[in-house]
Amino acid sequence: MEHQRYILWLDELRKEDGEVAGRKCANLGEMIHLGFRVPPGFALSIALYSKFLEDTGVAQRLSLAMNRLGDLKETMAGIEKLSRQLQGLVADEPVPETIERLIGERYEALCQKVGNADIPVAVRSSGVQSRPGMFETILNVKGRGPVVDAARRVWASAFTPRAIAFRIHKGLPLDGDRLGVAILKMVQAGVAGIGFTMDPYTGDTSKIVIEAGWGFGEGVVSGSETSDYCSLRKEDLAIEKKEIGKKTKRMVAGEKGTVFVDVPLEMQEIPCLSDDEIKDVGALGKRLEDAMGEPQDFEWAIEESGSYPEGLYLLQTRTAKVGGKPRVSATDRILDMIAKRIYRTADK
Amino acid sequence: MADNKQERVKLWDEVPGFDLLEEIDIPEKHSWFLDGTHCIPPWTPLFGWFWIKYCSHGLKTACSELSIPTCKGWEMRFRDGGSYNALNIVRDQKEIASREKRFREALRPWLEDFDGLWNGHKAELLSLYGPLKEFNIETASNLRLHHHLRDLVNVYARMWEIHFVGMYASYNAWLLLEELCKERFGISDQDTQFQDMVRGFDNKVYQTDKRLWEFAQLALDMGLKDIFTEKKAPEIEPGLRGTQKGQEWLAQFMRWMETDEVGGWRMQRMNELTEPYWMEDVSIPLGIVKHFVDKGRSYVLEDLRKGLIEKREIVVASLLDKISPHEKDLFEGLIRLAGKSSSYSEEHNLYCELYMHAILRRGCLAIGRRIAEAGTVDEPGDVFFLNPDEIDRVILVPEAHDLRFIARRRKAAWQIWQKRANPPIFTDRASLEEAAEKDLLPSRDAIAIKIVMGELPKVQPEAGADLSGLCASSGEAEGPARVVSTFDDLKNVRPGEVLVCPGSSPAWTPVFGIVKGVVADSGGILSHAAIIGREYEVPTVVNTSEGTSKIRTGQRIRVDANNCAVYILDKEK
Repeated sequence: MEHQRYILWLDELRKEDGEVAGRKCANLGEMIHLGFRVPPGFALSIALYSKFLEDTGVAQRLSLAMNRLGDLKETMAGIEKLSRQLQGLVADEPVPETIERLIGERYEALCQKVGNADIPVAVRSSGVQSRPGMFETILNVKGRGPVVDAARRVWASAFTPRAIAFRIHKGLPLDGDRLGVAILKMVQAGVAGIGFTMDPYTGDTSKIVIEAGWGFGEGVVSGSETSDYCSLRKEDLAIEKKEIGKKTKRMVAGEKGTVFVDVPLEMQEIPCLSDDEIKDVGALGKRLEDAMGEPQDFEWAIEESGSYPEGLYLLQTRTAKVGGKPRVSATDRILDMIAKRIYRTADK
Repeated sequence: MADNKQERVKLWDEVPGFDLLEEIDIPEKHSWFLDGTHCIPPWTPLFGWFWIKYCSHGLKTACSELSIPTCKGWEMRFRDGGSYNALNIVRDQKEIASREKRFREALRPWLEDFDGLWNGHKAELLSLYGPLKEFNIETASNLRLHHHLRDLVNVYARMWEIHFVGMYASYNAWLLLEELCKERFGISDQDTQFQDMVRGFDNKVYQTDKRLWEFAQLALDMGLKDIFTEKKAPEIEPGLRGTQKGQEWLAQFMRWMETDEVGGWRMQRMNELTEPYWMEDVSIPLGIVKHFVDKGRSYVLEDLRKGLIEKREIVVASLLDKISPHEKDLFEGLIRLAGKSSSYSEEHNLYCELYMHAILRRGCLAIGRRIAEAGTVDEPGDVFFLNPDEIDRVILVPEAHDLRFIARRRKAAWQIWQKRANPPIFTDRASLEEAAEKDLLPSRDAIAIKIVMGELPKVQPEAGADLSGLCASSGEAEGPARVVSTFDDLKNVRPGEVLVCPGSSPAWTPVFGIVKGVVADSGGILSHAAIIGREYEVPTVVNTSEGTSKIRTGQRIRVDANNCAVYILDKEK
């Protein structure tokens, strides 16, 4: 019985199962139960993460390090060194065979369910606490070996210097972040974005705000690329404001993983959603809010080839922060702008 | 054999492995830029050895740790006391993209908690300095001195790693804020508005100034005014010892010098070992207290700071007003971080160079005394003309060696370097502009562009200025020039003069409180003179290249910082 807790289909999870496989997985399970269209997939539980740490020796290193936390706190060099050691342990050791088999077989079962071999999946972190943007997410992963490896990378992201420093500075235990992993069929999106069932800047709950961009929507989620913006009246989904951004880049599937490519000129300044599609996304948000009982902040995608509206997927949802803080932190936007505007010299 | 020996001497001399060899170094890197901010006047070989080897090590380490996308740090070469720098530029787009990925990860903790990380690094430095300060140089055996030198080298290397990680981390936000301000509001970091946003933050340099100002108030309270105002700096200490109250004041002062986190462990000249540190020569900090006593009760250091803070709040509020609500927190965060660049620029000097170089001077001079006693060299200060390999060779049995032939030759050469200027560049490019275009700017290296080499001044011929530079602190000023090349000349500066200097360091800070304007030969917008000029609201033009050579003390000059121009009003003088 015990081993079955290591891996679960998403629809085996409910909202209250955050401790089992992290909040993202639990939320996705709940959505499936409530009848939302979520891509099929499975969850690696917290128990599997703990087993992985035990089997690779990371757990032992952590308890050693925790005993000398006093020294560690003093120096960034100490944190960096510890991070290097732990990430090295996770990255260099082969994934223990029992774990490899558990993940690999479940991935093949998912492929069978969907009816295709080696389907591309998204491998997303699912922490017990919500720390948006802190841990790794890897998109468009294909094949048994790469999927297992991507899971390992998500686990390793619990030990970046940044994650360790964050826990130390917040007074959390060093092993304080326990990571579940969500592995979902990748939606080959032509258009994707985010939605809020309130105005995230003003906190006005009579509005629904949608941002959309071409491709997988990564630029929209991270706030780094200009996107289309529109605001709806929640009551009757009337479109009140529409701003079409100049969308120069989009993320699409690469041979392996994903690539950023230029948006063709003629598509840069046209809206990526029709008015009907905007209303459909708005309606999805309204249903979500009704189901969850509070304003939601969600990610959606529309499959490029395939029928509509069946191709409109809900990728994740969480409680929107009331009082209206944009979900992408200022730090993330600053980082992104520094990287792109200071160091990208291709145009020079 | 004789020829061969000649060859070797020609290849490597002062800084073995790092002496500039034109026939090898120029084809490899094309352009070697003089670091005009740090090596004027030219360095002694020992200081050059430490700096050239480990400053470049720190730059390369920081670029690798932070994975700076377009630069892998700098190479440095020593030539006639000057430091020549070339950048390791990443030009391959794929490599830039892959470095960028790690860069984001590595920079993030600094954006999230700059103060926390910098405080950790400060604690690390202080814990490394502690044992070095406690090491008893008088009673140590020669073997222990040999070990001490090795410890100094190790701590020195670590100091530079810490120095540059913090520096690269903090300057990125400055670059981005400038970029956005240029795009949205058409203002660059040379505009008053921009500068007002990032000044008036508290830091250790300011706190130390304030502490000295408080000691001046205490001296006035204790009726010691005359000792300070009537005596020159070197006579103040004996004067104080002559009275009961004076002794009490001095005891308190010395306690602060010894027990403060930094206190008296700071050099007066930042980048050289030949001049004393505060603990070694108490007349240096007493001279600063004297400055404050001379200014009298009405001068309140805090008022200046309060004015800057008020101004900053007004400018920031008016800027945020023009920004969409989407971007408000982005700009707020950026302005806060860019302010850290200013503070870090000042504060790190105290914990890194000024402190470390004081400890380094103490250890090196101890070795110098030991080998001078043994007759290996003429006098203790000759140790500054040897390199650590040569010291290692003789320190265990100094009486068995004679290195006067090396020390005397290098000292004579060094004295000649002091009298002439090093060329600004060694390059095979057609012009300075082309060299900057191809071998400097593509690095996108904030430290090279904003501090060490500086951006090139925009010359406005229609202004008819005698000198052009960068506007580091806006405003206009007119007054008699005072050309100052070394810290020693600083004591001649009189209130109301315009300071003309090669560049400045934190030890020069107090003089900014009495001059009307500043003209510096070198440095960018984040160089020391620029930052202090802004903190003291003194009109300042930097990177004028030839201020100290064109202007003579006593000439009336006008600084029009807003137009980046300096005018010499009476040229016949």
